[in-house]
Amino acid sequence: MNKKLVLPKMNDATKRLIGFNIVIFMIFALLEPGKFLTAFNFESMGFQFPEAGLLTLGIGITMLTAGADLSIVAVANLVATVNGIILLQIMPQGASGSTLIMYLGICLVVSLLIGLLCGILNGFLVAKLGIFPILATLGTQNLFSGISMILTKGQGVFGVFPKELVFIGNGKLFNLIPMPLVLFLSALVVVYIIIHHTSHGLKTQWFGSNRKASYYSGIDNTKTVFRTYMIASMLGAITGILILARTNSAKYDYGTTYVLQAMLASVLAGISPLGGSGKVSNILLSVFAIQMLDSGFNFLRISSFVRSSTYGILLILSVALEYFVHMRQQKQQIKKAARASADDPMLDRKENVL
Amino acid sequence: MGTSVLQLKNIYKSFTGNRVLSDIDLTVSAGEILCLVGGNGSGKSTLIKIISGVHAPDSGSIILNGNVYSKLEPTESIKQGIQVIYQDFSVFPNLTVAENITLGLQLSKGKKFVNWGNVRKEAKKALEIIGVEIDLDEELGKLSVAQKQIVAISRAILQDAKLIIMDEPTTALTNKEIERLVGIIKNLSKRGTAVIFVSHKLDEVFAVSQRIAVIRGGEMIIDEHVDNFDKDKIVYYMTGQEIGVEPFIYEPKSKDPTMQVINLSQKGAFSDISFDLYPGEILGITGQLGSGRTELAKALFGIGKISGGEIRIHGEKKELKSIRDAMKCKIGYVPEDRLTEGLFMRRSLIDNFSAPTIDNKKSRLGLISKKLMVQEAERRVKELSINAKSVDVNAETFSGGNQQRIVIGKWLASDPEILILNGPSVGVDVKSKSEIHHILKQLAHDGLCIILISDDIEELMTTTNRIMVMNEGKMIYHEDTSRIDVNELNIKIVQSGTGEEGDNHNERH
Amino acid sequence: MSDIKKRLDKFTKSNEFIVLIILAMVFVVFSVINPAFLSVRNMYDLFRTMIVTGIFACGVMMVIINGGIDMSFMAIAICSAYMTIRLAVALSLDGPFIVLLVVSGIIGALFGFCNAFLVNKFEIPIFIATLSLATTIRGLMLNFVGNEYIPSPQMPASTIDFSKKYVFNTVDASGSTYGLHISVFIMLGIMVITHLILNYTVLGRGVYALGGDTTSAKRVGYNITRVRLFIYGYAGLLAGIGGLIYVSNNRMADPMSFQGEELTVIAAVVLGGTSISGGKGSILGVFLGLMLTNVINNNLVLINVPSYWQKFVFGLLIIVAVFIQSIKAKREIKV
Repeated sequence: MNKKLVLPKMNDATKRLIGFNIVIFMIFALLEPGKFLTAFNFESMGFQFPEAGLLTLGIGITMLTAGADLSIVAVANLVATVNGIILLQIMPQGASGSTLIMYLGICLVVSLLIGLLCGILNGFLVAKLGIFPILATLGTQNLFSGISMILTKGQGVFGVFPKELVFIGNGKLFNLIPMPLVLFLSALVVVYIIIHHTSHGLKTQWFGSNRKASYYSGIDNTKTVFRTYMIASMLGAITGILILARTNSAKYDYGTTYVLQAMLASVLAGISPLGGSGKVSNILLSVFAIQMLDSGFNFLRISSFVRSSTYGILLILSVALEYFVHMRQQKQQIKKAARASADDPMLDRKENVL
Repeated sequence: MGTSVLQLKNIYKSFTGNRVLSDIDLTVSAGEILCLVGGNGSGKSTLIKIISGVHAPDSGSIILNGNVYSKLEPTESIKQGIQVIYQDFSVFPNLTVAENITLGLQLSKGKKFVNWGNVRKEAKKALEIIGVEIDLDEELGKLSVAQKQIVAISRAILQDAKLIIMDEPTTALTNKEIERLVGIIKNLSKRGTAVIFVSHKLDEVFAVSQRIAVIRGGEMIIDEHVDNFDKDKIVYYMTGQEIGVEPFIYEPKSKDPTMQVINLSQKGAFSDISFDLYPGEILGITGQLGSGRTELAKALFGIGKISGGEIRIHGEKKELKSIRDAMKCKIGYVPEDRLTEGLFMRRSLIDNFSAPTIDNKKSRLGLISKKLMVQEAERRVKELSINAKSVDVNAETFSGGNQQRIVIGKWLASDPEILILNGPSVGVDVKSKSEIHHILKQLAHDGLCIILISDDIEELMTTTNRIMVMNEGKMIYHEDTSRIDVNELNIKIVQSGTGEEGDNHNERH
Repeated sequence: MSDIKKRLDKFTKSNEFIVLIILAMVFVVFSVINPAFLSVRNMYDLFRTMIVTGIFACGVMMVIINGGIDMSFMAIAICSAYMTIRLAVALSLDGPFIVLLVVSGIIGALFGFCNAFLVNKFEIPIFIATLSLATTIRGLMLNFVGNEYIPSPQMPASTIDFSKKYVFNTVDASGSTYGLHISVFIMLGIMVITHLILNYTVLGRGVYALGGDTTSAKRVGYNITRVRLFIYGYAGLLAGIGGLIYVSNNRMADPMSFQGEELTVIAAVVLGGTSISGGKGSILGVFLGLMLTNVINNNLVLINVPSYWQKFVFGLLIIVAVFIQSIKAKREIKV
């Protein structure tokens, strides 16, 4: 118990998700063991879902603050585009050795810088000016995609990239674990530590829980929100590198459906869009569950109807379940609270809408 | 004696084991003005909710206009002409005055279409009855509290209210506005509308009521014509005879004041406030809402702008521009509204206790040490006798009294020298209240300076060694508690100010 | 007299006024750079782009006033329209266009009731509820249809006829004809009707009341469930109507339409002064906001701005507009 890192505690969402995952796994394992239970299948899943996972991570943490970062995919595309331009048009052809490493290094720095700047803009609009997150990030989403468009005159970038870069998107660490998965898991661990074990992370959760109480506890709310959007944009930047590495291309409108999917995956992971609750580690479970469903349906040649409505149905089920659980909890607590003075003022809390 | 509009017979009410109302009898006749006086925890709010049908009594009967009910639905209560004006007025900030006044009427008449001409006519009529002029087209959110209240009353009148219950109607009004409200209520009475006026501000009580009923501890203590009372008597009935509550005895700890407030002013809120605060003292600050006392408390905590004067901590001038600045000066603040300002309801005690001091709880790697947080929580739970079997439980599961202690505890964790508490025993049961008082006295004995803002006379008299009364931003009275006469204190609190119309008393305090 | 002055005064302080000013400035700038911008033909074109989104926006506005964001209207629109067309083709119906409109509207309203159900029963945040419904609907579409679109030869005759109905037909210098499509009048009509409902019926006022303070609305006597059914049903109805007009004017029904364009309409509505926190909004504002976003989106070409600058400018517009609105809101608090 004296460990510095406490293992993720099992809360309701975690249990539910683990249940989902087990059920899904067993169903497909039984129905199509030949295709589903192969190393190849899990390996290819390991290449596919990390992109969505990273984006869900980014959007998820902004949802903790009762907001949403709609621009995260645009940031990713921008980073991918800029990197593509650097490597294809700026870097001399056939560069190798130290020159190559230098350019790759430049790419890395530029990516992080772009992520930082985008995050600062978002943070400024949302935290400092108090603009509604959906509106602000809608604007920046168009802004950032717009820049990608301008840079490539709407064409996008594609070509042959250095194998070091390609490895990140298509290679396997120790010849076993898909690199994208490594990237995602590393990011997940880092974000998890930040959110659950640093003072910034706790402040983020508390802000989402009750921003007034946070203020009255002497916490700088502006800083908290600002940092959250910066982290989200940085995650977007990392995703951009991954996208370029995996697809060897970059376009301003890649992955537009990712944003909504990521929000849904976050809600599935137990992160309330109203802010405050949610365990970051659950994102791994929810994204993985969705990916398994997708693969499994693919193998079973399930009609696309079921596949595409998966999100919608899962979400409705998930939220309805949370509703019932919450109702039951509330009833128990009303009984307890009523034992106190009956004159206790019941105050309305105006919940923020996204 | 007109016909009785409302009659309560033998009303009993308990909430899971806690008896809240016992054997309440009450009769209100048409056109009668009854003042219901009661402190916190007296049961008056529950009584109002039973009359309006929000709560059902455990036993007893409610008789409205001759109809007997053992259980009453809110819609039925409204149909019988009972209108309650809550403290938040239930108005729509985004709609106009005219619409706010007439919306309920249109609904109850089953109207489908809006005839704006009619709406304006009806709204104007209602305002004329009250005798006040308000711009019909103004957005309600832009009005002052007093004007919103008038809109709420107008709405009630339009719906043929036979009995209007006003819950603490004068809390946010200036003296002139209170005078006007008194006039309105008298007018209503002349027109045959009965009014139950819930308040403990003695001046108003005497200015307007025909009868006074005092409720304490869930029991109707006395219910008689106003001429049978004087201020002393009411205070006596309200506070009852307290056995064995020792007054607070100040033991001087140092001849240097921890805090000196010198001619402190905030534009629009308070002006020229000066006092010293020594370790071991509990200073009580009171005054009606609008007196500036909460702004003063917040200013001492770094919230709000100072327009004049200064604050000195240990002799040094300090600029408190943010809460963090105040925390650096070892000041803590327990806010008025613990539910929305003081606690993270859905977070555990572990989180709540460490919120202000989280940056001090890092382990070697710069990460937060959960162990330190848990230790803090366990320590405070013990220190404050909080009824908690585990610290890993959410704050919302606790009673008001325990919740208040959590908020106090989180500030104790910051090792303060000065602790400001704003209304700490509001909505807290009697037992917890005395325990909290005990805690405060103990803290003072340990050397803390405590500022206690309160409306509760009894609390002020038994827990402080000095009391300051504020009125419309100025300090009008400042005396050692031991030398204060309760009635004199009450009078000072409710007396009119300088007679000026206060500027924009829009904010609640 | 002072009444009119009061109203004028109030208007100049509103968000709608800000949009009007920005719109006017944009018009001036664009027409200076390229006088063809102000041509009648271009104006007709501008209105044409506003038709379908204008119809949607009325419903979207209602939901936002109620305090939430509707993410389902486009999915509902295309689904209702597609189903209607399919039905008409399958049953070889060749009835008048208005019948198709009604059918599509009804289907849309039914979807809208689903939204209301999710919100009423489970108290799911509107954004999430409508988003889930939308994804489910699109899934439904994919199942029944895949991405096969119904091409023009197979569309019911009445839709093709409708798409050809123009008024104010004029012949220009080069001999080509242009005119104003009659569905513009449908859009304007819907806007007027929505305005009337919102301002002259008790139910309509209830939309504002609920958005202002739900508890007070209940206390004053509104049946919350019913008002919500109305709001979402009406939004669904409009979505269905708008969707059908869209497929008719385009002379084809593509089930993959409208992907990801919801936020653009929402942005236009909010730019026009409808507050995201609820309780406020006007049809005039919606109209102006929509016009502004459409002008920017569709006319950059006229002033020689390459199309790939479009997104950037649009993003900039949103940011500037909400920036101004937030400054104005902050200043109001100080007063």
